[in-house]
Amino acid sequence: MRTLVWLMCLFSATAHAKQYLPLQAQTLDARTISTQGKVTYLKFWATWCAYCVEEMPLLQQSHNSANGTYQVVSINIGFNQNRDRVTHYLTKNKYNFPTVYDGNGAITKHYSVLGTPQHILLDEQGNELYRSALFTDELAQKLRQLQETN
Amino acid sequence: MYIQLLKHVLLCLLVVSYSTKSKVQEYVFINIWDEYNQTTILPVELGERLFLQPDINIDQASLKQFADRYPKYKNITIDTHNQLMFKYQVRQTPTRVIVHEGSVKSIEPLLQKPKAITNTAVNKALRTLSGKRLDLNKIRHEYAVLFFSDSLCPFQHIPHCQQRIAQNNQLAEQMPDKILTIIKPFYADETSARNYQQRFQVNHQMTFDYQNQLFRYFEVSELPYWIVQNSQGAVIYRGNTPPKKHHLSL
Repeated sequence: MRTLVWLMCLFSATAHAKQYLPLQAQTLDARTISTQGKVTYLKFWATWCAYCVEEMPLLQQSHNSANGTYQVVSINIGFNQNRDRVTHYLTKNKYNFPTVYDGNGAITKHYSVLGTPQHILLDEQGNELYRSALFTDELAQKLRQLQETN
Repeated sequence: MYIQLLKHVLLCLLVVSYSTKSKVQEYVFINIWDEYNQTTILPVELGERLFLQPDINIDQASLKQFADRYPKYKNITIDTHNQLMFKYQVRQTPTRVIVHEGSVKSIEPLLQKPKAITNTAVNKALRTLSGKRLDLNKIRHEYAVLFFSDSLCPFQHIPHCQQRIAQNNQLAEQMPDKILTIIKPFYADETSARNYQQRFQVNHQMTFDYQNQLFRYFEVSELPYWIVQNSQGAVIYRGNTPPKKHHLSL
């Protein structure tokens, strides 16, 4: 019942939310990811962005705790970036969340991202549930609530 | 007669040169945040030059501040929604795009010259802006309210920061000696912290967190942000809204 109430609260907020077409992309380690039918937490970032790098352990933690209730997809925005260096950065720091390299900026444009970091939470239909520049308490709370729905 | 001919040739050259130049547009994409650390070496102008800042992590105030500091970039504008970046498929800065009569003649990366590093942040001990020595123990026991803020305010990643700073100043009126504002060191220096102090008329103690150690210690990732500690130094409130009276024993 508690789960149901939470889901109703969460998704009632989507009535006027912006909706995005599903994203399908290849990760740096050649996996295919799709936002279709999945609650998705997207993080847009770059290695030169100090705020982004500082938050990376939180992204890893969110990925580790998801337990199938949502998926984490990190999107490197590809601006002033190099695919190999991004891969090296992730490997060196032992980050294993799925990461898409947005080489031509199309994904960044698709989600109207004009700054890094940028956190976007989408429901199964691609509705934007939440967006923030930094990793906020509110975002952490929304992720925790999703984890509890399991 | 020769003089007349020479004048005519010169005028023709001038007209040809002008008309050629007027049809050539140069777009120079730079990233102002990089320019503070490494200067782009600008090649000879081949047409009407327009400096463009990609529409990433930017606002008009930051752009103006940059143009005021580096007047050669006074005509710099934001490439709104990165329209030209997408049009010319520019993904790196600095880059020059030369367009002649609507068609792209060249896209070339430009060189940068690093500036001498003057940031001695690594060795800086924590002090208030008024010079009082600080350490973690003092911060945990001498201050009840820690207000984590950013001297880049107002900026897109710090929503409602001006309003929050005003709220914190109001709080400080009631307990001026118990509040410490802590400034994020990213993309900022102590001078920008002092500017913040002036701009927002902060009358309580402030510190510039040179090594980001206070932000790390208190695990603050959101800005602006309050932490309230009790007299034993235990955190009794944390959040992005001002603490309530019962948190402060007022």
